[in-house]
Amino acid sequence: MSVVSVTGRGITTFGKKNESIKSILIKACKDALIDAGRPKVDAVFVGNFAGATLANQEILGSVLTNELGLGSVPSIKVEGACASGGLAFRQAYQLVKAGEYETVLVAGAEKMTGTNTESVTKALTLAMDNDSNEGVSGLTFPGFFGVLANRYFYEFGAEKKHLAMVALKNREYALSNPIAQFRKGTSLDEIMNARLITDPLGLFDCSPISDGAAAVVIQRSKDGVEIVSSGQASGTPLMQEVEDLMHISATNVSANLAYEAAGLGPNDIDVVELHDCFTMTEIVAIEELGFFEKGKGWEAVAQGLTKHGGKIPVNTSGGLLSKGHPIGATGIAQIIQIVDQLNGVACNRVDNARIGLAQNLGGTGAYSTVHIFRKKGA
Amino acid sequence: MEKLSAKYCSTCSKTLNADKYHCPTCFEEELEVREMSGKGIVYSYTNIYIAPKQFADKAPYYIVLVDLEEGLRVTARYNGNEVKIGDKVEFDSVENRALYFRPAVG
Repeated sequence: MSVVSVTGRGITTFGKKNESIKSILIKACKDALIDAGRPKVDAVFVGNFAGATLANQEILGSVLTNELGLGSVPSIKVEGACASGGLAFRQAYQLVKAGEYETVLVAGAEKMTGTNTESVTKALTLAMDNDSNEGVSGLTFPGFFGVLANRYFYEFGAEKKHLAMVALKNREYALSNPIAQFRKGTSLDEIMNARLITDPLGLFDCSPISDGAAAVVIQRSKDGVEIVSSGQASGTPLMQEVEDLMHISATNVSANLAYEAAGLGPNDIDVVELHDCFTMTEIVAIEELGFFEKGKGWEAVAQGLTKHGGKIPVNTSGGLLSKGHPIGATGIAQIIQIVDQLNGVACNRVDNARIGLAQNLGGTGAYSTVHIFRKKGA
Repeated sequence: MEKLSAKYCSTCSKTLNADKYHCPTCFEEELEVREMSGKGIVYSYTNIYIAPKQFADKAPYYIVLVDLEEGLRVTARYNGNEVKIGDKVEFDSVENRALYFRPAVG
């Protein structure tokens, strides 16, 4: 079977940026192509969620092929809310693995700060099924995770301070990430007392509004970080139809598919980037990915098992919470952190990391992708 | 008084949310409309402070996830000052498709 590897990566800083979505995409892609040694590109995939509503721009695939001088190679934009990047990466990976292409450029980007918070909140509700009684009732995207958090507290005994511990851990990791949006220290106290967004989630429990772009080059080659396997699953976009709100089944199913295809399990993973759109989501994800038992994730956080010196370092980039969450770029940025870890050049390096995992969630559990990576030659 | 309704698939013996276009199991489109008691228990809730533009003037407001007596779970707005998991609630009204619940009387 042919080996497919990530051979180049490029990423912009995350945060409020003055540049356009086109300009940050070009920058990330150029860096990735130069990093890969300027290979001949056979196709371009771009992950993006709300280019039209938030950045007044669609057809990002063609915009990129034109600006990068790639001529007539096929290009496409992939949308799956916050999983847009992970989904774009998976489509590209499958086509390279299948032999359709040798080399593909996969990018992701979002420009979110050009408008106000109310408009962004409204755009985010597009990541739920709006032809129903839910959106019109005033349920928001963060609101879903607030409802989940209150029930999780009730069932398993977690408290708001455990959410705060996730926020603090990710902020501490972000301090040494040069591209992170938040590089200022904080405290449990400040996090606990921040203004509420949707009870019990406060400002620090929610990922920020960000601009940013990221890109990778993947090739049929052994000369890079190997993509060992890919898993993808869908879940219900309606809160009232989730079978068991304590589970995000798409995360669990996509992980199990990836583990099975790789012949690996949670205990083989040395470092993970997972989808912490909210602090609560990180706790559920470490359970769904099999690192900790259902209902025990909050205890693992309290015991320091999700950072260096614990069981598995989670979100060493600072995560969506502190690195920033330019929606379409997120899935690619997570993969870049894992690739950097396995190349031994990441911030917050995990010593001797051989196997890494990246999990990207879309909507309130509508989509999830999981990719497993292996260090070159390991 | 206004009643809460739901759809029912007699082939699958399944109660479905009122806005379903068909039964996702057997694809039957001819679903029976049934009246619900409107009584239920709060499964969970949140109080939303940051809302999209059209709801911003109402914030903060409660969203509840209610388990109805008939077994159906519905998302709704809550008209009440306080709510917690396990509270008994009842259907109040439906406005522009959105369901409103209130504290149960008695």
